[in-house]
Amino acid sequence: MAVDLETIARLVAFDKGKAVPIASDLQIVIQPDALVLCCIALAGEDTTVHVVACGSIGKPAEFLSVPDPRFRDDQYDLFAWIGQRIEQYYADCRRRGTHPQIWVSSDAAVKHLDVLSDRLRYNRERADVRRLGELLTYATERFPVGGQQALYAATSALRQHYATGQQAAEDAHLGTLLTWIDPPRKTNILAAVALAEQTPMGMKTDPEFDRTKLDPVVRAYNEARRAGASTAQLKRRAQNIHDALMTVVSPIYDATQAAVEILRTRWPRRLLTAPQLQDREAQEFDNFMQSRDNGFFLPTRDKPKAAALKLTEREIALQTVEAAVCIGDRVALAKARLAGRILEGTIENPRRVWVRPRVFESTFDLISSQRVLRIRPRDELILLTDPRQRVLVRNVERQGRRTRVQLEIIKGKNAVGLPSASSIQVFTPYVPDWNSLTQARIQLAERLAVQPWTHAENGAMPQRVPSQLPEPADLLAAVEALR
Amino acid sequence: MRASTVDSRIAALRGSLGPEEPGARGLERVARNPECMRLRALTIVGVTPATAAKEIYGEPAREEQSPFALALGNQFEKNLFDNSAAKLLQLYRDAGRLTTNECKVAVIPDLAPPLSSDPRKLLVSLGRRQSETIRLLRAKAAGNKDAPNIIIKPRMFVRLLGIGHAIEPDALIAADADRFYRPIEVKSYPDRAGKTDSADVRSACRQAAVGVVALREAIREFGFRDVDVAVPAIGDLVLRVPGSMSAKLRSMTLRSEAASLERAIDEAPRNLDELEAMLAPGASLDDPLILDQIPTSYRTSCKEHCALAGKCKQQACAAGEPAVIGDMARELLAPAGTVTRALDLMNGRGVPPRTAEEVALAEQLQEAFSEYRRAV
Amino acid sequence: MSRAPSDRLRQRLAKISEQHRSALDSFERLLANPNASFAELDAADAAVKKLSAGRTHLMEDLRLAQFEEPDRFGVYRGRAGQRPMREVVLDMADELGVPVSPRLISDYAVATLGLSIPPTRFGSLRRDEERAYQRDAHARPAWLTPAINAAGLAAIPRLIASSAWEPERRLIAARTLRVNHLKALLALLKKSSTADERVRSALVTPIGRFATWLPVGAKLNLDEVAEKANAELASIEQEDKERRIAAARELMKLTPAFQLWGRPGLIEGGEMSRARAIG
Repeated sequence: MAVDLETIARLVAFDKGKAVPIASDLQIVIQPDALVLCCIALAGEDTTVHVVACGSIGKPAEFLSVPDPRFRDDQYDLFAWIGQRIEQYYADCRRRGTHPQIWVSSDAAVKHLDVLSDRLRYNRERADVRRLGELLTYATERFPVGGQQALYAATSALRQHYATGQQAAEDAHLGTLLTWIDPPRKTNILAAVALAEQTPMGMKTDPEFDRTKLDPVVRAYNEARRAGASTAQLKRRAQNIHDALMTVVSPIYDATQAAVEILRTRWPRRLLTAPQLQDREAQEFDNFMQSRDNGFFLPTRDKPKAAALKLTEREIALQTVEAAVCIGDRVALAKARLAGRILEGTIENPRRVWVRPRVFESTFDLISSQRVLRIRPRDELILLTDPRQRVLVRNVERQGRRTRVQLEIIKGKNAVGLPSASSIQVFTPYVPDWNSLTQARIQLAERLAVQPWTHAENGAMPQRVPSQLPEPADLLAAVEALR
Repeated sequence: MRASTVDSRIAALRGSLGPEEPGARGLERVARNPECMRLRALTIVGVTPATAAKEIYGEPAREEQSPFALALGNQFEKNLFDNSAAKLLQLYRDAGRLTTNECKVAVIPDLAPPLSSDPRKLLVSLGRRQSETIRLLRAKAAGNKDAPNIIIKPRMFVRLLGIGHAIEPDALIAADADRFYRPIEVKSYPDRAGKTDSADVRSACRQAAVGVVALREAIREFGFRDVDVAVPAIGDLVLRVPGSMSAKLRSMTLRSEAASLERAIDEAPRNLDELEAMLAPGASLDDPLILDQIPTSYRTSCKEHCALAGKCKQQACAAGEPAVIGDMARELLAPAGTVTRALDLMNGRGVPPRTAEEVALAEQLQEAFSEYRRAV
Repeated sequence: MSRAPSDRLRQRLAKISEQHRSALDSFERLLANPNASFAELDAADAAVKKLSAGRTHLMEDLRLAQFEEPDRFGVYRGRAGQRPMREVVLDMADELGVPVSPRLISDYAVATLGLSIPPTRFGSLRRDEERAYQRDAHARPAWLTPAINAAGLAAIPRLIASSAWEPERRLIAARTLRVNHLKALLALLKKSSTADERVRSALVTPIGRFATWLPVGAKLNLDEVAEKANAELASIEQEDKERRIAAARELMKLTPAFQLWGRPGLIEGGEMSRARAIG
């Protein structure tokens, strides 16, 4: 197992007592009108929201709570309140032809929104609650897709840019992460982090807080309600609950805003491919909202064909984004180099050999000193600095600490030409192809037009039909050609 | 190993602290981090990590569960077990696991006097629960047709160092044709199919595995030899449908969980000998300086299940253990031993590499560090 | 004598103030002790804060009580002229016809009589019954007794039966819990069919709870529920009855007291039974 850049960065951070950058460019695209949404659930009841803080980035929050989210009507009213704000925001984005972006504090908060969207979009009792579920579904369904811009967890976003001197799992707490990024002066960082950890930053309250502060006031409210107390008394008790919850949700909202501010102000260089990411997101948003306008149903579970499409989309999205990041971000490139996913080295023996009239073969050797290399003969690579050139790996030979890779130019012989001897070149297996998703969708639609027998109801194994084609002379080459 | 001798050895190691039953959670905790000698030592002597944190190290006790979550959990369980477990029975019928005729339910707490704060009455009540459980398990093992299909809150034992530690799985289930029971774990965690929280599932599976081990011990006591066949490592999880009190049933294989637990139990006698050998004569674990001497194995997952995680982290940081920056770093930087040494190797300072492994590590660290500096 | 709510609040305030003072003293003593650990200080501080919060809430309640009407603290039910609780419970048990849990009796009493019998009162009721029987077994025509486990003939205290019933009705064999569940459901349905609108409406919830095969929120069709319950009962009742009758024969060989209150439960000996009396 080779040492990776992540480990190095954490070592350096631990040594310095401060988080260090793990990227050179801003890896995400922050929408100037993004919405910060902090919802706190009642412990154990994941489909509730006890209090919510909601506001645009850089702006103070609006707060709303319900005394006890287990009372359905009160809870629905709160959902409707959130729904109004999100509806308005989405409508503004549609008008401007852009896409919405929601920020939450952490991955736990993302999961909470996911649970809510799953449940609420099938609500039969209130259309406004159902609508909230649908709108949230856009963000939560986009979240797992690489390069998406719809929903961000502040912790994940910061982790893409900073490495701390603690375990990756501990970075899931926004408070500790912010402490590492901006440690208090003259304080032991570990002590500061231990203190920060005690403030909840997810979607739940602390059990100790629940026992000593929240439970007594919620009980008092419920007792008063059962006893038929006056409106004034109920209102006062509800205020006690709200005051208690504010001490939880306010810090989370502030911390999330602080995270966005750090990324906005300390990372001036954007990814080169940021515009493409935004365009793609805007397109996805538009498609989603069109489907809602046209009354298309959001299924609980995808059927096999839809699932195949979605899986392919995710794979392609991830590949595209990784390739995009690699091109633009120096740290990502360094990671890829260390992991052997890209090939870098010095050129030797560039040669152009006549094959037949007007046909030449352009080959060269690349000497790499990379410890780890993940390439093999017949792999196709692309020149990082000019994607018009494609090369084919003809041979890979380890020579002590170095590796000699024989390459043949298969595309861009004239457009780009042979590299000069002793120059340093970098080749990558992927470059971002922003059209690949569309092509994949078309291809899959054709291939899956007829449901495969494996997924058909009572699907029987088809009869064997021997191929009429002659057996290939080189079976391995024929298989490789399918790549 | 004679229990009375073991008892006195354990009591001596425990010092001034009273014994605590680990329960299923305590027992499964040991298997989660088998390399942590401190966790094993505390479990063996009958002290929970929470007590150790509070009483030995003087750390403030932190509430583990919210009263709201507890109330929900209790309500969910009550809903299933009320009216002679009618809803639980229905769940199994709907799943096709029990027929109409397989409706024999035994509720162990109902067969004993209520629990009491009076220690003598409590002992009687717990003793009755245990007797009734043994009677019913024996009936099933003997192939009695009247053996229950569902047993609610049985009281069983897992032997650790020859001492039986009581556990009370939520329920046991067996169709008439089943050779013996399998455990049921009821949790109010929301069941979201593939999106169910993996930590929740892991925790429930581990507790169910303790039930499997207890059942195997019971059936062994009844003279069975093919224990693994009679009690396969399978358990049922009953989780909650999100936003409601309805339940969902899932069968889970528990092979690795049961195996790791059985391994931890098997190694316990050796662990007790090792523990005594490690300490000075007369030393006991209620002394923080003594407890500090017992090696730990701090990991990312410790926080999930151990109240001493914070303390162990502090010690790991002070000692410069690579685990403080991750489990991967623990593996990668093992040749260096500490973070400080790894930094020295990376920066080419301090004592030159002493071993071939350090040489190799230094090269890798320097190469990667050079890449990093170039990039940022 | 009934006290005004504000008087009760004042008394509670006095008590909590005393506790608060005492907690503060403890905290200060710990602070002065250099050997006191942070954990102890933290716990003492938490105790002070909790009492302080309690005081604040009580003061707020007292403040409002000055302005609000004094007699709006819950529904008060006069006890004069009511039958003793045991009589009501015996009637409920007879109507349900099988050994049942305190909770079901409580729900049934609320639904049919509008009477609140908290399930938590049944523990002391049980103990009082047995003591009264021991003083004079003939003092009453019927006693509230526990159900009896057919295996071992020990009591099942959480299930309430009547001494006036035939022995096999008080016995619980392997399938009896299910049989009794269905019979209790049928008793609820029968009551619902003859009761007025208020009682019918109040019985919907317990019926829904017992008819577990119905999806949540499904509309209740009482005839269909009865049909299904009867069908299931028909398939399991006979075998269950035979078991209970056989057990009853064994039960009748015991002393009268054991016949009603069950045999003392046995605890199996051996190493495994050394259950520590801690959790």
